[in-house]
Amino acid sequence: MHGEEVAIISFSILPVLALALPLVGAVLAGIAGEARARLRNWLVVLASGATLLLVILILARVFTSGSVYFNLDMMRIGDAYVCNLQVDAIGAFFAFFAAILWFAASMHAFSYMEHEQKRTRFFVFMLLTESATLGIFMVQDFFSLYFFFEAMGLLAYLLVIHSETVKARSAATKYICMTIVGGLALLGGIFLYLGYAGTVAFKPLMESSWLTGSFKVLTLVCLIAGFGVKAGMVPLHIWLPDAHPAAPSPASALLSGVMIKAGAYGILRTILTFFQQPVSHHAEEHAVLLVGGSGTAASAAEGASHAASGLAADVRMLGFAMLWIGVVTMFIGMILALVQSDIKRTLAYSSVSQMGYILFGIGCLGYLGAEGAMGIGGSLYHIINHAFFKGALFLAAGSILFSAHELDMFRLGGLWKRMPLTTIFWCIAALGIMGIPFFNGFVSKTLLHHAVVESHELALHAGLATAGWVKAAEIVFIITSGGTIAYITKMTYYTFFRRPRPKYREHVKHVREAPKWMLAGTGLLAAGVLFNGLFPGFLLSKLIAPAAETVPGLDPHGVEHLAHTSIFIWHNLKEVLVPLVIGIGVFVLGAWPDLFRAHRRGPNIFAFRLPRWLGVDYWYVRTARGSLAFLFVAKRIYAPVKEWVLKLLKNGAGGVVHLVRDIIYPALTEIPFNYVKDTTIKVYGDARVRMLPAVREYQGDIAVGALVIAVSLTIFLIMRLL
Amino acid sequence: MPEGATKSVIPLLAVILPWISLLVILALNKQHPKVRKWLCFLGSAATFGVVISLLPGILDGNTYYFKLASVVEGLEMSLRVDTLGYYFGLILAFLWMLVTLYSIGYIDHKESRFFAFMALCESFLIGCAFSSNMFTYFIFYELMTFGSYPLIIHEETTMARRAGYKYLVYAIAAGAVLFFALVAQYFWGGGDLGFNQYGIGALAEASKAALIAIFLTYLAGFGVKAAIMPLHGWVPDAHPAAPSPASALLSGVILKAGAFGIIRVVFYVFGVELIRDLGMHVVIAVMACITIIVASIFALTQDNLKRRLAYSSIAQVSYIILGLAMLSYDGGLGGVMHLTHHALMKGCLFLCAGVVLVKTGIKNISEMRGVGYKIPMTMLCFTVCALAMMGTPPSVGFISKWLLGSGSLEAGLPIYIVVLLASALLNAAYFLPIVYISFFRWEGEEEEGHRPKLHFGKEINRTMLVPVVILAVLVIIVGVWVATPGFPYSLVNPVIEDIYGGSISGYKYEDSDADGAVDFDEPAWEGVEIQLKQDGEVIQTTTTDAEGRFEFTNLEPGTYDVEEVLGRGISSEASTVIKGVKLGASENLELEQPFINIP
Repeated sequence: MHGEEVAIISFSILPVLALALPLVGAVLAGIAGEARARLRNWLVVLASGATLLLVILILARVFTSGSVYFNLDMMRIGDAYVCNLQVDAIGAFFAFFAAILWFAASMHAFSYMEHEQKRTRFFVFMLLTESATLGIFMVQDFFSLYFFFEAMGLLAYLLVIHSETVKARSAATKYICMTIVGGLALLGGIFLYLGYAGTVAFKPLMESSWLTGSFKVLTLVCLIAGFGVKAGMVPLHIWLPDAHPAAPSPASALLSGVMIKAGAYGILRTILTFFQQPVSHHAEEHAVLLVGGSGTAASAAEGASHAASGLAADVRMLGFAMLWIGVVTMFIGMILALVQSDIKRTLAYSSVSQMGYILFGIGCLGYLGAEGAMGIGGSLYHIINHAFFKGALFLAAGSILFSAHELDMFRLGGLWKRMPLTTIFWCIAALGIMGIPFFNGFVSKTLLHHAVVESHELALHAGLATAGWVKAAEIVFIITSGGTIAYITKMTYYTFFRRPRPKYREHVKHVREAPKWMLAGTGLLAAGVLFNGLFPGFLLSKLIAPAAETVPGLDPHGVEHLAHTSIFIWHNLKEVLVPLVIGIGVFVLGAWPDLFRAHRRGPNIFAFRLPRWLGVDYWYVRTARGSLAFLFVAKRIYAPVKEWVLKLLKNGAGGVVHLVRDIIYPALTEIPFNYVKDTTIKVYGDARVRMLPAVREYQGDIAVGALVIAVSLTIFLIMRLL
Repeated sequence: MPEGATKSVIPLLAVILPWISLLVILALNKQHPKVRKWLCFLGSAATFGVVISLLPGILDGNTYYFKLASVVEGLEMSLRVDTLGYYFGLILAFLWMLVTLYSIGYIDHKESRFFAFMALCESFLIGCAFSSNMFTYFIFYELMTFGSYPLIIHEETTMARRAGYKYLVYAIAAGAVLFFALVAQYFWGGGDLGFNQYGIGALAEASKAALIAIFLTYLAGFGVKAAIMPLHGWVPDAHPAAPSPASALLSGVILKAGAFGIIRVVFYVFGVELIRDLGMHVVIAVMACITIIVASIFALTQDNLKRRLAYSSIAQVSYIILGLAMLSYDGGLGGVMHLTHHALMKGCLFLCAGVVLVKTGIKNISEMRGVGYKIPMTMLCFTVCALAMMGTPPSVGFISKWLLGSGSLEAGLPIYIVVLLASALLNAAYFLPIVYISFFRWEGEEEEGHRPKLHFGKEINRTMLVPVVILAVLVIIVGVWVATPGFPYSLVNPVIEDIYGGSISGYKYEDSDADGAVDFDEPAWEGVEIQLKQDGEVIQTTTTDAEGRFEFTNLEPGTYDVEEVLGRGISSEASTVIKGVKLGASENLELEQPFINIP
């Protein structure tokens, strides 16, 4: 059983070295500064390269001998602490591709940053962000995850705002707002998880109510929304299309290649908390089983499968929700990518769409439960694929911006002659994202397709009501794959192959091939695309399956099956035909005037724009501005309220006077009222003259006080009555 | 003299030492201004040194006692350093030392008066922290009110005078109210004004109405200094009017003196059980929540930097009150620890605001464009503290938020988490624009290529920069190495353990007839060693008494294993372990299943 294998953890200094190295690199690069720019750039490349080596060592260690840990013993309170590092197979997998991407991006940035300002700041924060990001994948509890997640989010702010143009500033502001709100949602979710699961570890306590209790919708919404903001999940994706084009290209490659995966990683971990099987219902039996060893393993498995069936419905529901979130994300991202003209903006929407694929796979994992090996396999494969091809595309876009100073695809053209190597790398990556056989996207999309087909079969088999919806998801999946082919072909065609329009011909003329550092970065990732596409068997059996294997509760046969899935068979190859036809069709429909040098008649689908109020972005901005304005308006509204309260107080005082003068006083005594009045009025007048300025000064405080007391009393009464 | 306390003159020394600076100032008046300033700093450093000399003893659980005077029979003015008092004394002496250093560069007119009253105020506050009973606390608290007045009106502008006047009105009214509370406690508490571990026993027998009245009177009295809404009116006026070091002390320490009074009242006068019976924790929780949210909203609408910080202080001090109101282990821990945490963060923020004012003359946030380029180190420290205020890890702010969050879960009221998160969001909304405007905007940004350069190095006088940097670094360090001896956790945890700690107890029998159950005639085992373990580590060891009973006390809530130690007839086969004993806050758990032994 895999359950026992997970328990093996050994001490290793590697994780902390992998986190410390970028930090040291950042400090050294900061010291080197602009005065020794070359040394600084070399330091950055060396630091990220050495980190990559360390991460590969960790990966090898984890895959051969189980998880490794290193206790930093930071932020320890009582028996709870944050930031003790522990790397398991899934974490090592994520850290691995993150480190590759960082290495490629730092090579690219070596030359790219020559055109930017404040280079030292960029490099320092790039390395700091690497450390934070690797940290995310090296911990085993939500609090530590939150710690690194927030660190990454806040540090990346400096990368987004880097150019400090008006555009970058507004993008960065949107980014930081989303980060903070998402972070707080996440923290709230973690607290709720702590309340239900009894621990913040990814593995809930056995006797907790997390697994067996009622479905914790609120907690899951908080957690998934918190992670989903970073993951670019629709409808929380709005920061992404602004932030990516605003950031320098190496940073966009990192944002898109790694950072949004960190969000997906969080969602994956959230779903996997359901897969931690309770070994048995009773704690005593648990103790016996632990002591008993292998003899009782069979009975443990039996107990587990029994308990798992009770959980299955909850997990399936959650998986179904994730699956549809994924489908909606991929579809909307694809539609929006289709109508952009800015290359980086297209790529940003494409990232949203591709994140949909990843979430879709995670959803399939939940939906299939113990049989979900194909779902997690597809997701993991797509994660590493997307890191490679989207990283390569963003870096190539950076090269284009560097050479042509232009990112509008309709103003470019014919670049293949002037930037041949960049074109080749771009095309490899483009074929990858399109899912053409022998390129990497094909493998992961095939796996994901298998997963959804399996889900549908399972649903039919079990007679579930959601079967039809799963079929619908599959159809949207295929349409989206077609759309992906369309927008990538469009972008490639207009940027590289179509002759430049006459009025832009002049400025394309001076374009030259990008410097070799940039080519090296892009090429490294393009090579990754090719490798992943040509040797899926190797990757599946050596990287994906061992990572999936460590997920407790997955059927080992399913994982075995995943490791030996045949990719290049006719059954899979023919699946590409439908999307290909759709894609080419849509592309031709939009681009025919340019393809055939004809005059456009009818609408241009590439210039199709929806009204702004249909987008969620519009409403978020309005809500945010509105609520902020409300707080300021509240101050203005408060003025009449204050007047009213003061009036009430005065009238009350007046009422008391009337009461005393007209009712109480006559009832008590026979002395005429005026006599008393005349004698007291002097004293009163005197006091009034002295006190009035003071009273004026304090009337604001008095009004606030009265209001707060009234509100407190109301709330107190409500709480008492409930 | 209280039981178990060591008689020591060190508490007295800590109170007296600042007076020596005062004498120095008077003696050196108008001559050697520089020497005089530095001697003042030395005085406050010496006070801190004296306070810290008690640390090892306090960590060992000692208390120190010194009697000042006897007023009437049973009512005396005396100093007693218990762990909680020491905790407050330590942070206050530390902050005072740093702020005195800062003031050397900041204060440029009427230094004698300022430093003299700083020294006085420190003496009184240490008296507050080290007082052994409510009477002594009250005396020092009132003296401190007058001692701090000259600090607030130091600038002597119209605004400062008005603010000072308002402060006096509020504080004197509060003092009068507090006096009534004191008298009422003396009357109903059987003449006992001391601080007792589980509250004053005699109070529990008083009528409920009287107790509620006493508590609310105390709350009103201390609430003015602790700036609980609606008693906060003086705070947003006094902070911008006072010079920055004085604002840092107001926010960092003087507001806390009020909160500290409420802590004393809740823990040591009434005791948590009585508060729970009276339902008073709900009252303070509601008031604290309203204060947190409303003050944060007010802060958002301020343009004056120090006014914004002042409203933020009002909100943050209520975190302490909210932690108390949770009546749970982590809540109490988080609340009391926030006292120091907030002092570090807000102290640093106010000192930064002072640097901004001195270097650029800017008071309003909207004018702060490009300030980060002129004083990068200061604004970097400001950024660190602003992020900490939002509760970003790794910082003290996160530790507070974490503990308060898990405290509200412990109390079974996740609604407080919503308040905490809303407050964190508002914190972000009013702090981050300051950071943004000072680093990412600059004068003349519309013109191409006109970018200011960072001026590291000579940004401001060293004596002003050093305290700022020390505080910002501590915000991180205290948040990372939380459990270091001498840091808040090591001092607060024993206090909370005494108050909310639970116990586990059970019996050890011999099962003569080996039927697995205990019968009346079966003998109890005496002197068997029992261990309490957590995560495999032995925490406590005890032996059973004549009835076979054992008990572990002062336990944090958590999961424990109880295990017999081998030896004397207990072999490895017969030894029993009770695993996974779950203990809640202030729960006294009796193990149902006794340890039995089969002969």
